[in-house]
Parts: sequence; structure tokens; C-alpha cells
Amino acid sequence: MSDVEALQTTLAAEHAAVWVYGLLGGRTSASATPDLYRAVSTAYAAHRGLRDQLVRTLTDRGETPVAAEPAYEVGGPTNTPAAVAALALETEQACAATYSWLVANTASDERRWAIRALNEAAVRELAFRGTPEMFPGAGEHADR
Amino acid sequence: MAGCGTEREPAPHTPADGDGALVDDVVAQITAVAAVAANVTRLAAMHAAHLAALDASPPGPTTSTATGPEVRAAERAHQRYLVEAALRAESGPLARLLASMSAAVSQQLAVPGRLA
Repeated sequence: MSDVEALQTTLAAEHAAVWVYGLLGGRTSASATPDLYRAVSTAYAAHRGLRDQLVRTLTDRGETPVAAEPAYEVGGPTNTPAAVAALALETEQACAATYSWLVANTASDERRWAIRALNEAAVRELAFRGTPEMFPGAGEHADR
Repeated sequence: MAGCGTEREPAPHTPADGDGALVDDVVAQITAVAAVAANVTRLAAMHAAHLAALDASPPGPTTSTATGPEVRAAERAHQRYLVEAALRAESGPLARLLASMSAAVSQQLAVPGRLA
């Protein structure tokens, strides 16, 4: 797989993450659950930034960035704060897996970008009741 | 699907031929920082898991005289080292493993609580 294909795949995933966090932001109350609201808002801004960086990287290379889908299927309920946090945690864990995959399929500046994104996603997991992992984004190594 | 959720085959840790010296260096680095953080159970467990993933022996039983700030500083330096090691790796799967280790250290540093 070329690094352009890997970046396009990551961008497609990032589009999904932005969409999910937009949904979660609308299901979170700034007054009733301020910590969760802050964490969701922060994650939303972070993923928008990552998406924009990927778009810029691909555009600078003369590529046409993949577009977002009109909507995405969400894997669980979003009607309680616990459900919002669980879906946000699932999103960050999935993003961490995507970034670690990007690390393996790129080099140089793109790999450095992916490593940073992986580190940031791993830390964001903690804001959604995640617990430290031995291998964020590469959980199969934990079974050794 | 919860964003970033594309399923992919996990990449096994398979160092390229040119990565042998890098793996040896990483093992030595983890062993050294594990000695500094030996009194912190969660860090000791992480370092042991990371060594196992590199097919290296776990560090022997030891105690550390390092203070909390010293442990934190050592882990911060270790995280940066792992990032650079991931960038140097010729093998993509090894780069992925080292990057994941750096993220694990980042998580530990972000967890509230003392490190001594």
C-alpha cells in the first residue's frame, strides 16, 4: 500500500470520527455533565484539526482527499452520559488502531504525524473512563 | 462503527534485517528505565510487557531509590526515545509496536497519581 493510500484511509476514518463527535456533542449537556461536555468538545476540535491536516497533506501532494460520507452508523446508544462516554472511548480506541496502522504504512514526516496522533488518542481515551493499556492501538501484543 | 473504525489486519512484530541493532538498543533502554521505575507497580508491569513483546527477558527483581519527579522525568525521556526509535525502524510492524509503546507511556504519564 502506498503512503497516499494509507493517508486516504486514515482521512476516511477521521471524517467518521468528526461526525461521531458532532453527534455526541449534541447529546451532551454543558450544565449537567460539564466534564464530559468539555472532553467531547476537546476531542471534536482535535479530530477536526487532524482531519484538516490530512486534507492539507494530500492536497499539497496533488491528491484529491476522500470526501466524508453523508452519515455514519453508530455502534451503540447515545442517550445517557455513560453511553456517550462509552462511544467516545470506542471512537478513540478505533482511532488509535488506525493511527498505529498508519505508522506501519508510512515513513518520515507522515510516520511522525501518525505517532503523535496515536499518542494523543491514547491520552484522550483516559477522559472517557479509559484505563491505561500496555499497547494502545496495537492490542494484539498484549496477548503475548 | 464509531469513527476511525475500519477493520484491518493487525501487523505482527517482525523486525526487518536492519532493525536488529535497534531492537537491542530499545531492550537496553526499557531495561534501564524499568530499573528507575521499579517501585511503581503499573510502570513495572508496562515495561515487562514491552520487553516481552520484543522477545526479551523481564527485568529481575529490584528496588529503586528514584523520587517521583525522577521517575516522571525518566518516563518522559523514555517516551521521546520510543518515538524516535519508531521513526528509525525499517520494519513497519516494528515501528507500529514502538509507537504503541510510546503511547502507553504517554497514558501512564497522564494518569493522576504519584510515581514513586
